[in-house]
Amino acid sequence: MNKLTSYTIKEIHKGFQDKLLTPTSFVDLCIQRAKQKSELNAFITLTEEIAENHAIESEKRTYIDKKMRPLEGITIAIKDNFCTKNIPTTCASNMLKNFVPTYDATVYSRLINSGACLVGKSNLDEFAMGSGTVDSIFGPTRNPWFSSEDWKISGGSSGGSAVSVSSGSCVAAIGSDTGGSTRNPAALCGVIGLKPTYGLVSRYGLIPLVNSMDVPGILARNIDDTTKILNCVAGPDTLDATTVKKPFKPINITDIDLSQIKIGIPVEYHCEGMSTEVIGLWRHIADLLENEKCQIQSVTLPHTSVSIAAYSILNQCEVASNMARYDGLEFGLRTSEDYSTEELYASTRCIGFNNVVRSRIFAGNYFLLTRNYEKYFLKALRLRRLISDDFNKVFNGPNSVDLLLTPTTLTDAPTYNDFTSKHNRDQCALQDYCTQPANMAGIPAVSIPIRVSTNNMPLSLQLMGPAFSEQVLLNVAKRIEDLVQFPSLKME
Amino acid sequence: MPGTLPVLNYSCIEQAICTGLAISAEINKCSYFDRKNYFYPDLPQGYQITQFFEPIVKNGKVFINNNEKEIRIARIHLEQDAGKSIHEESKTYIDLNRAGVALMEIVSEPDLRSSAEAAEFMKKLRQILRYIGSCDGDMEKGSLRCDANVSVRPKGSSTFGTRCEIKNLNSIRYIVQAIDYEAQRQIKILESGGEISQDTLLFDVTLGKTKVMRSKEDSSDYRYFPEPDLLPVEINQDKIDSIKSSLPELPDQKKLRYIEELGINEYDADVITSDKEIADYFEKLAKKHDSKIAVTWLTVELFGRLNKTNIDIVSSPIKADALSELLDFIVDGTISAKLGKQVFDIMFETGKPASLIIEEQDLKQITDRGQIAEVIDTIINSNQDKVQEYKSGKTKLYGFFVGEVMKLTKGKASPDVVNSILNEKLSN
Repeated sequence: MNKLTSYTIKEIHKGFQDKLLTPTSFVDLCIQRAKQKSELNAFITLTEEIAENHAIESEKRTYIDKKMRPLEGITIAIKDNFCTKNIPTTCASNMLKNFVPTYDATVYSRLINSGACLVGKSNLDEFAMGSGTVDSIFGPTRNPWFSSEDWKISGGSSGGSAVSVSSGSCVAAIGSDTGGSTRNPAALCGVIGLKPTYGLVSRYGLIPLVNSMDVPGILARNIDDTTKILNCVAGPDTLDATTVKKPFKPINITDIDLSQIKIGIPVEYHCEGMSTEVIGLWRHIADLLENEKCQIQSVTLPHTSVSIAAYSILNQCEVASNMARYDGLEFGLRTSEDYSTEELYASTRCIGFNNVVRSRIFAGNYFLLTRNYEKYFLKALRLRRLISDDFNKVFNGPNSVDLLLTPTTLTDAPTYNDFTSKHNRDQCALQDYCTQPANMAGIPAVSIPIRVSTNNMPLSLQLMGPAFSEQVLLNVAKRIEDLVQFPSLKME
Repeated sequence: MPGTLPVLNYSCIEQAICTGLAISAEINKCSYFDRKNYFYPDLPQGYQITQFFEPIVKNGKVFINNNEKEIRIARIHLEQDAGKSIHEESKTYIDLNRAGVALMEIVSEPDLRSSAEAAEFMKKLRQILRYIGSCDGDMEKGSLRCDANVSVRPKGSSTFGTRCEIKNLNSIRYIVQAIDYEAQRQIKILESGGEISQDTLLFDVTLGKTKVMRSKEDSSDYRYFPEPDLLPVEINQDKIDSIKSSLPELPDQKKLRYIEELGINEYDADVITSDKEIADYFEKLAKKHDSKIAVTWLTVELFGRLNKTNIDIVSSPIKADALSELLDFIVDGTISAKLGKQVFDIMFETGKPASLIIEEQDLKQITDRGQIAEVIDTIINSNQDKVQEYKSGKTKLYGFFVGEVMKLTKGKASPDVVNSILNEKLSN
């Protein structure tokens, strides 16, 4: 059973071929695991019947048609902010608690068309606003790496997706990444978390947080699997005008020559609050890569420290507008308030949204007022441009580098009690420090688990590259993965 | 529905460019969309996607009053239509069928000085839109709507008064009524020492009065910001040029051509170019026939029947080709003009082609002199008394003889031949 936390797609497919496993038996194992580990609260909805149906079709294709698809019989979880037809999609919010979409998100339909089997819809912070998966109406998701009274958080907002992958309930999961929401829980739960380039993967069906930064993210236990998933979901989508029109060239993992790779260490990521263990880890991997003939140099991204403030303004502005559609009229929650339409709006939105969502709406509307537009929104946009320019210079200017190496998070996973002692807003400002600049610039980034901390928790680092550099990004990540041999989670 | 994304309809972009070119405007080579945020039950997203900062078309012009007055067009922008709220006593129904459909908003500068000019402007605009096919201009169905801003000022004053906006006027008649009412209302307020408050109004068509929909104080801050789900619209010069070259002849150009090249009088030219469908019909006739004959048959005969039966030219039972064929028969003398009108009536009622009707009813004109002379002889022989009267000076009786000839030939005798033989025989 412990193999569930380490199986690769390749091994599973070999198992299918050797009939040591079949799609139905494998799906069954994963469902059993999810049920056994229900105390982790990774899932909002377990889709047992759907998974079984998918598995039966997989089995038919594998053994009767003998036409295996790339993700045949591979179990997946989908963050509960991606629409899935006839399957509740809640965003972990009272507002959408009973919402059942009538259509599939592009990412989900592409995975199913590639042979994947849906195990369930995974937990998140309400409307993906958070970095702990603690602000869900279904309760927090627990980190599977530690079990005691004083348990640790999974990170967020795609905590359910990270936990479902690390605990073996599925092989891979889809998260969303607006400021680090895929990479953060991946880092804290010891799995790979990929945020692709903005526009590479369709957002159609992803319930938006910040449209200009949201990207579907991929969580898996290794780079090979991550790449396989990406190859199935990436590419143009006529339903999302912001996807690139150029056909997608599948990524392939090869034996690359590290001596041809230049990696930058941005000094500004060395920030207040970063644990000495993380700093040590960062240095250690830089050394390790240097030993492998990689060229390591320190670089500067001067606007990094203002990024989080600009990010938070832009985030709240788009949130304020995106959340306006939840008015109690067309779908989702509607209170019985009938004094006036305005009262119905107010009571529905008051009961439907938690404090975090409401306060972001409030702040966003304030920033967008005509009298504040110049002062906040336009300034934040200008900063965003500067941050993007910083990356451009580092990747394309003189002495350019191919990739950047930074920590993903400042520390290993905090305990629930420590984490919730701070306000959601402050936690996000802290937790997203290293991750959100990639969203501001739209560039790809991947979090790779490196080793286990003195607290026995995963510690991870992040690689970032220029837009559409997934090929080199994932290949270097693969080498790091091979070098560090991060252990898979042992479960009793 | 949460998670769905807007996708641009490129034919709408082309229509906007086309419209911009038709009003000699600048086409913005890089326009983009913005969100206008407000809550309203018929706005399902809670925001409208529009072009606030950079519209696709700027600085155009439309001419009215016989091309003597220029009305400047500030901008044309593309936006999503909202749904429709239907209020009924204590309930409100929402029809979302048109929500999200693209529309062009055409904004004029304050250049109109009266309700008559406003009506004239709307007609001209509608004519242009119909010509280029970007809008059917059907105000009743809401495919063309008008928001009219009205202000008044003392004679001689150079600054405009405070304006009120009357929303959603859906006929030219209502535009005139609403503006006239509103102007009088504002004058009364000012003359009694009051002030105009900048309100948004609705026109109650049954009462013929404007009423306040919302006042400026409760108008909201729309919190515009660029729409993140849509990319900016980039248009290159080649695209503009190719649309320009495919632009149809516009009403003013057409009218001028009719007057100068075809020698049609201004009144008829106006009537024919008023609607592109009419002009198209006319041009099919004029391709083969003298333009004067074409004008007469079109504006007198066809319009007469269409008006009587309340049918528009598009659904006319007689298509241009069919009418053209009828004119052929008249011109080449196969039938007389008088019989032509009879055939025309049958065509209108049955939809049959002229050739078939002429054959079925045996209406071919008789031009054979011998045959007609025979008929005339019979008439003269059996009406000797009338012949005597005629010869003794009662020349009015000439008409009687013609009538008799026509009676006996069922109207088919060629009038020319009849006249020449009859004159000959009666003067003997």
